[in-house]
Amino acid sequence: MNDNTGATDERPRDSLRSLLELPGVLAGMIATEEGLPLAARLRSALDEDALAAAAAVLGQLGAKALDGMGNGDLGLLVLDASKFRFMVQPLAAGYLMLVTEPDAEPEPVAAEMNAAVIELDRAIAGLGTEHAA
Amino acid sequence: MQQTQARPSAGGDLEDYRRLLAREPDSLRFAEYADLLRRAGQLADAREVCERGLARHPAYPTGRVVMGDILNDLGKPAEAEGEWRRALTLDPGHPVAHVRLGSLHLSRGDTERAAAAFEAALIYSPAHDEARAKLTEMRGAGPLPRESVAEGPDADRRRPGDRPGWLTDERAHDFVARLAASPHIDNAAVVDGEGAVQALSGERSAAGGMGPPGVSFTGEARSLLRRLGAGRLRSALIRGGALCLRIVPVGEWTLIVAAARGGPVGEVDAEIEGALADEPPDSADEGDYE
Repeated sequence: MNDNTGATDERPRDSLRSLLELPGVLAGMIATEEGLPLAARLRSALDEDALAAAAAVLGQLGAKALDGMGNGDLGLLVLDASKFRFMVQPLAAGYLMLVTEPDAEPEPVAAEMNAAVIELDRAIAGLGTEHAA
Repeated sequence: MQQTQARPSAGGDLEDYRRLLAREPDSLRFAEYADLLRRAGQLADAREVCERGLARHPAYPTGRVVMGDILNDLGKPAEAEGEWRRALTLDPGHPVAHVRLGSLHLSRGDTERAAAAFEAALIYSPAHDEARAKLTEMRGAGPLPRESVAEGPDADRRRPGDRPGWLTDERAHDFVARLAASPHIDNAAVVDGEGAVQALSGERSAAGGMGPPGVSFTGEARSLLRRLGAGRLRSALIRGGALCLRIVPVGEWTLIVAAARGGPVGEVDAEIEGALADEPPDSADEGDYE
């Protein structure tokens, strides 16, 4: 899957590559729940380790906020800042985060992100099956 | 998340630690022993003990922090930085590692990154005295550079996150009532910096229950953005199982709006923007907004 895990599945990288082709997308990151980078595609000067940690922190913050309302699991978190927009979606194991230009259209990116999450979760499940076999 | 600091236990001395590690060579307390040796000025011994311990426990973040401290004391700040960064890779919330990196940035005159590191330490360990003291000291010396970063041509305009002058405690209910009257919005609440609800759109509003978590979210998100150098927080959107939350900083207040998950977010944003832009008529004169 990536250099850090030693796994060989290229689908996560392919997914990130596709996402980075969307207008306004500057960086894509798959991080563990602990905030370690699993795969990254960065087109900006953002720091990979810091982004991975941010993905996990944002995912946890979003889940905590929803928990405060008893409103179920996190589906998507979008954090709008003056310089960037951060979009975080939970994966079966970890988080997918995209960093976009602050004025990029969020809905098309969110739709593509959703498709990528389904693909990534399938890939992760596939890896688990392969390892089990 | 490990947040232990490598400090010798009360009454512990070098000989006690030496015996303990001779008896239990796999013990994680090598880090405490190495730190005690470092504090005693026995840097070569400290390094040897720490290297031996890390050979057995390479993923022990506190061991990495202590190794960084030893290398720093040995006059090798670049190597020390590498160890502190490794500690954060292993445990992104290790406050001591954040503080060490902050101090290093400060020694290099990089106050922006230093402040970000100290703030990161405080996120994970709000009572961390050293991080708080360093930040206070830096702020006492004048405004931090990141706070004076120009925001471009918009700098002179009222910033989107500011609270409009008319939005006082007394008008907060009118403001929330206007939002809740929208067909796109289920509930709305305004909470102050302490998480206390200033106004909400119903007795048992779901948004009202979001007060403390919403304020906590805003505070932590702001700190995170500072660390990333991503600028000011404008808003957040959180989609959950059935609802969608829009969280907007309004000065020292936080506006929390709950809408149906599949609802039009653009319409919700337009309602919020409109409500913040227009001073509502006094409710005593105009009644509701239907």
